[in-house]
Amino acid sequence: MTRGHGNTIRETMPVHEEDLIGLPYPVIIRDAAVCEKDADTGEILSYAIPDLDGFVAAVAMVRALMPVKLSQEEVRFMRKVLDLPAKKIAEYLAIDPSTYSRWENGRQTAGELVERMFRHHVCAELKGRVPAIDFEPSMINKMKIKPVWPEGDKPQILLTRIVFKDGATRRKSNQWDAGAIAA
Amino acid sequence: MPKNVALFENEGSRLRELARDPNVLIIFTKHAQDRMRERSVSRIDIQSILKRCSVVKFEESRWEETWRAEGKDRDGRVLQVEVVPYERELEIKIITVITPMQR
Repeated sequence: MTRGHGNTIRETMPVHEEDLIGLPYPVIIRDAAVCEKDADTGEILSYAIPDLDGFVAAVAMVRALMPVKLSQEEVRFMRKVLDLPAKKIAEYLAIDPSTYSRWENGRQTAGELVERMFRHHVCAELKGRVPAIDFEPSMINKMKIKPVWPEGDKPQILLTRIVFKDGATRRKSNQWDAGAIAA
Repeated sequence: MPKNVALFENEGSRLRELARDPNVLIIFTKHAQDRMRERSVSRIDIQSILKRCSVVKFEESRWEETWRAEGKDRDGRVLQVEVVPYERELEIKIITVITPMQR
């Protein structure tokens, strides 16, 4: 527990269901999200996620490595994590911007090759922001992408903070890592 | 871009620099989160706007300075975000999110 701004205290939440990153399902954060409480009443006043950039990058990578077709919301989420306008993604995928737009708006589904290219791009671009999550291009190449989640299921993504030691520099830093993932 | 943007160029530059710092902690008040849910604004949108924003309003209350930042998200949507910057602590508190129609 630490002091916040004004008459507040901060606590790390054992579990937080994050639903404000643009995905149609919550992402579970274990032992990392912080809430700020009124020191007198205990009322929760605000929330924060440490290393927000790293967090959303980790969510995008974990989902890109799950072998189920991406939904329109997930595609849009990943583009926003890459911090790129739709036109730039269309350029990278060598598809017409209107085709990409229809993909993001759910009026057209992407072919498997385009979706694999998109996943490669997402993981390659974001790997530097989430060094604790393993990624090899072959993971996507070998993936058998299922068209939909089994009925009633949705992606379950759980992330936590770990102390990560870089193999090359031997430096330690706090990084996001995936917890138990159930598909 | 708003006409009075030049007045707060210094604040805008400081806020953009703060938002781009990899160690910044962005704190969202419950009120801001409620408005974000109503308006389908995500944390990524807020962060993206702050990295490229202009500061268009400055208010000093008894306790804190609040700055109103304006910018576009990656879909070109214009939003205003009321923030309290804590430059020394590397923190930004998001007070509320305003869509242009509310102005």
